[in-house]
Amino acid sequence: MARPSVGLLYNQTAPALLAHAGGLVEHLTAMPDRLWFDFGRSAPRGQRFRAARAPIAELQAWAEGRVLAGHGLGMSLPSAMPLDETLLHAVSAIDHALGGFAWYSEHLNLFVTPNASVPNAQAGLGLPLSYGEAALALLKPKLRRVAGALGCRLLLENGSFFTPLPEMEMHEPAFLNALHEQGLCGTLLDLHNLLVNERNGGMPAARYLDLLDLDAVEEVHLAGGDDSLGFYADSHSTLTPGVVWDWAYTVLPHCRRLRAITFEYQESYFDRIGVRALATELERMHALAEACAQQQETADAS
Amino acid sequence: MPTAEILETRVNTRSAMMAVTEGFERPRVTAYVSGSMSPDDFSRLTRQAYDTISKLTGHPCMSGAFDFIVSREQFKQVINVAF
Repeated sequence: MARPSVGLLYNQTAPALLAHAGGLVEHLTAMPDRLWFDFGRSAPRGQRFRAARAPIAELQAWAEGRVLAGHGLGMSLPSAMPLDETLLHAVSAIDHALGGFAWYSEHLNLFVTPNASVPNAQAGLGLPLSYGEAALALLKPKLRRVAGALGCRLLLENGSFFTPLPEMEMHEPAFLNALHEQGLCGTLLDLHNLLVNERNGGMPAARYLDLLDLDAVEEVHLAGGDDSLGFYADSHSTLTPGVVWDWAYTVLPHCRRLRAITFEYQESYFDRIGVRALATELERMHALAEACAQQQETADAS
Repeated sequence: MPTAEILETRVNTRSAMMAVTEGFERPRVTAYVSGSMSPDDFSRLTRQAYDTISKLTGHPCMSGAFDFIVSREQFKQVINVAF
């Protein structure tokens, strides 16, 4: 494994952080869904998406000299309905405009569900997926189609939830392992989502990490959250909690294909977290990346 | 009390009222604003809408897609009259 790169999920406040500590940011992850205006499926043909030119130009400038990846929010790949080809085309257009993503990730959650008379309504929240052979069969052709259209490595991220689904055919690590074994995609391991799910009644993170095939992991997300209305939310409102750092140091050095460690924060918390604290977080991530590289050197030598 | 200062603050402050409703294919956030909007006003409003949605759902990355409507047709909730 080469040393994983350290980077940021790009948002509107990222330029201020990049101006302050740009040398610490080796890659940026762009969210195509935030680089356009989507007028919905009922928009006239060819007029559904309008590119947000100024944010795209700004991102292009900051991505110069850095690796750039894509992180999709709304493709809802596990939904039991055809792939949204118009949306995929829009992602592909952003991909081209930005010079090509090094890799592209989506969430392993449902966003689009049947609702009353509407066959493809947005739920307004990422819903957990019932893992099993049926879900695998549903995903296979879509993953092949998306990877083919974008021409880059595809990753799926373990999602977060407010309440777990009981009695599934397989658990999430087994599902991600199966996707990897069948050559369909790699895993984007969001370590903070493991904390969210553990706090909200899901599988303990330590057990999850024991079950996950670490060879599938190609990117890791770090983030923080907070308590809200009796739940623990993936709000990206704080720095990475200590327990998540502990998991990162335990697990990441054994992820042989890990290429990137990415920090996520919500832009409206930028002032509260503070640019200096964010820079310090990036420095900690570099120390983690070094630890990963050293562990691999030791493993290779022995 | 520095009345003039308060009035000046009121004059320079623009307000919008936001409402979250069910929508048709997507949940909908409607921002009711008064008067005309500059591109900067629109940018500030969209940032606020994104922030509101993220905080309502608890997930900046997992809120799905919402319709965002800017309406200039309803004024009664957003006009402050100082006298």
